[in-house]
Amino acid sequence: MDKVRLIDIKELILSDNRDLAEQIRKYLKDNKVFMLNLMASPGSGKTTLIIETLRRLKDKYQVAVIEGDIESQVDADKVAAEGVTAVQLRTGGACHLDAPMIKEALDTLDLTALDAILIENIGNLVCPADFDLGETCKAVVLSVPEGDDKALKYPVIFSVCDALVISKTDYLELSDFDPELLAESVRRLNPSIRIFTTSCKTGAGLDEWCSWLSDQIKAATA
Amino acid sequence: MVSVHLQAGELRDIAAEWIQRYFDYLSRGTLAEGAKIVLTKIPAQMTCQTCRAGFNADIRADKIECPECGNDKAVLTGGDEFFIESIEVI
Repeated sequence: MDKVRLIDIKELILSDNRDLAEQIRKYLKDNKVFMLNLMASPGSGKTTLIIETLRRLKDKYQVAVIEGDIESQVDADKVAAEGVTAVQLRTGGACHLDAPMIKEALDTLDLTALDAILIENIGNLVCPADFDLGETCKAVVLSVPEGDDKALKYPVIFSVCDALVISKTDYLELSDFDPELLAESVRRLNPSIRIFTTSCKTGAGLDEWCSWLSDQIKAATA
Repeated sequence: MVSVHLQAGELRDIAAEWIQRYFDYLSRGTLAEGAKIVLTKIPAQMTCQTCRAGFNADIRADKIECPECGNDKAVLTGGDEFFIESIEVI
């Protein structure tokens, strides 16, 4: 009987993604460009938030958008209609963006002419949280119709983000959603997270969100 | 190859049965064919912001508090690990 031998490996899975993400982070830093990784479930209002954010920031900063979608390029078309450069990434089934895809998108952009890049990740509260894209900041959008218990059901994404944008607060009147309850459960996992309560319909909270984002862009481009 | 020992933090959404299924498919016709995937979960680690004690946390619990001082201000310090610990070969 042959002897079974144990071989120590101790090798990180996803280490190639992490290494490329670190290279991207350095590349952005060298070019003084800020990059946001915006994550959320489908239909939470990511594209609408990006459009409203562009309207408030595009005169102050040179911004480009990387749109991740499984199929179609409707989101990139909406961004382009705002006069902003958009790169559409079609994953053809993959449920998250990863560093190699971002590298490909960055290769089509002139970083010396940019201050900020906003990435709209694939609509999904699970997998995107596991993949470092080399971004400067991560943010998650959660809309009122999704419910205030989502931090308990998807704790990882809420624990890795720098900011949480609660969207569609114009629906609050019609729902049992308690923003305080959500904030409490999110802060338990992530005490330093910034929380913005917004509605793209009424414009509520968008200035606060854009002012925070503006501070992050200033810090990265200084 | 007899087995592959993986370690995954509680924060990684890893489904052991799917990993085995994909591994079986991908390893067909290779030296790794038939190897069993042994997954060990590493608990989420938190550090209390008040007394600095480290503890294992159930991040899906309704309330997370420090077992030492009872405070509920803690930060995540581990639980996103994902690596191959070792392989067993004949």
